[in-house]
Amino acid sequence: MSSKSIHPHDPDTGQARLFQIGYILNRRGDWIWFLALPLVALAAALGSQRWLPYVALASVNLWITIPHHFSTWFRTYGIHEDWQRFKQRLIIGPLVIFAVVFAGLQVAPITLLLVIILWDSQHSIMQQHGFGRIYDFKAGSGSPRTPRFDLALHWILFGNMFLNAPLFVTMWLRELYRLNLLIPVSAVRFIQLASWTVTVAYLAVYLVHVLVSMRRGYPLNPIKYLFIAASYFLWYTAAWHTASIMVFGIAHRLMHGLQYNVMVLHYVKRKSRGTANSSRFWLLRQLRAGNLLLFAVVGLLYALCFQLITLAPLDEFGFGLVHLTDHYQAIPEHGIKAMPGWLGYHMFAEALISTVAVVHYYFDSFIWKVRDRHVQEGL
Amino acid sequence: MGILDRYRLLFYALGILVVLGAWEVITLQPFNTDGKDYAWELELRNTYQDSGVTLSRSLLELYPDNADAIFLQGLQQSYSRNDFLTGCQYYKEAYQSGVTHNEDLFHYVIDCLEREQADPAMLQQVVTAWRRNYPRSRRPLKLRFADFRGIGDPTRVAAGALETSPELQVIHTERRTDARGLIVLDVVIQVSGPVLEVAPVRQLLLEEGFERRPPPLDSP
Repeated sequence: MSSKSIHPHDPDTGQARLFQIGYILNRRGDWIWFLALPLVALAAALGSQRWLPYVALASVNLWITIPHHFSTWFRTYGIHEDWQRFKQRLIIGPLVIFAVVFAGLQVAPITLLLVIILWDSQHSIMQQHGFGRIYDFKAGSGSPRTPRFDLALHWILFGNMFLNAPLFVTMWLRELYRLNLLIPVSAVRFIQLASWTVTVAYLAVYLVHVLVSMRRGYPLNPIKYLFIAASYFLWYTAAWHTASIMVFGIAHRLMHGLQYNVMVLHYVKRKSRGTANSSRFWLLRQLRAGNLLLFAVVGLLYALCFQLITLAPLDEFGFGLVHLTDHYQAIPEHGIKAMPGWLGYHMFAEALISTVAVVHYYFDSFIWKVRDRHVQEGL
Repeated sequence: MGILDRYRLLFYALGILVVLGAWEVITLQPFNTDGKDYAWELELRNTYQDSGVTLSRSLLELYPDNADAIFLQGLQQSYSRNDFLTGCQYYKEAYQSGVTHNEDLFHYVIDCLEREQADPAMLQQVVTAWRRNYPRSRRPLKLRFADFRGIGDPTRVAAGALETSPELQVIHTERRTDARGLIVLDVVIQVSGPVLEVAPVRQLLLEEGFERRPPPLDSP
């Protein structure tokens, strides 16, 4: 954090400010992506539960979560500076993780699932904590001890949800039982009570920290706290409102994935300013410059490739509303059979090939007019 | 930056994996590797070891209205009495809550309704919900008949009757004794796709010699 941002003073009165507003993107962008998005995501998840089938969760995964993985690959392997800084970890990390996951699936699949659940939770906590840090960085708010207090706040609030919300309790209790770690109900209740006690006590401690910081002249960024409140409103509501994994999954993935993509895009855009963007490849140059449309298209193409490589159905893009195989139902009276799944897939592939061909026919119908002066120049 | 610092998070994850994984390898009785019916296997194992500390009991005590807890109670009840139908009231209650994340639940409710000879519209409603939520599910559908009075092997005849529907594939047929002690014949069908109309399928099989079961004792 830059030293000039600490103890900002009001230019008129010369007194230290209690509040210092700072945004990650800008006022409008933050209100959309960091403050309103959690509420919209929650509404979308509740709506999905009411009107969409369970397969919609897979669709959200394809449209949002998998493209957000692409954003990570782009930042790490696509930006020269990051590649140079983290080269060793970027090479060794995936190899080790792949080997461990492969071995885990063979030897201890339940443990592997449990570790993935825990790491996913830690990852979610750290992303929101990271955004909180950016808020303080941008506003020059918070005391030097605030990062540690914030991190503890996130761990305690998320941990409390993990230990208390029925959605999570049923999940971790089930996995522990599968591991033959039979926890009696009295122990679960004790853990939950302890968790609530720690949470309430820590909220009080955090409040004291904030007040002490302000008294010492460190201002507060209210947008950061609105952001934290919005995030936990989504998580707590989704986790307690319903026992459905679908609601929590959709709400969480929308918030987590979209905020991450927005952040990466903003980051690469800012980093590309004033630095030489000299890749030989047009696509890479455009992505490094933060071309939003291209970023979205490449992210979705990545998701498409992912789906094809894992031999998963392309139908999953359709929120359970679009079915490639549903176009031709059987007409027994005429001896016509319904279209089977494999034929539906071939139809899709055939449609892609035909589309490319027909687009070629169409373009050629107007780009090769010999009477066109611009064309004549090239002949 | 030292190697411990650089790979700290990986070391933490590996540490948990090694400790818990070792526990899993040493203590765990093997489960079905595809994860299907794990809840059933879990109940079986824990009940066998100590019926007082099963997942279903714990969850029911913690969350009596939770759909997963009610579903597990159904498994527990049907296992302890060795009677599938005993669990049906629990499966139906859990299904009424509207949760969609448990495919086993759909499957068990369908099985209950079919065995109980429930109203066809009710059965169709659950089948429609099952296929809509899990259009790619490979779980089979069992249709129950009294017997087969046609000519030839019932499995082949059933497969022939349904060959105009490529989304249906007869896996096998099996004779069983139902809850009333009557011999019945189940036609086990692999389904694919998001839509399945049960009544026309049943009608096709009836036309080929599969016999309708006598109405249940409590029917009007």
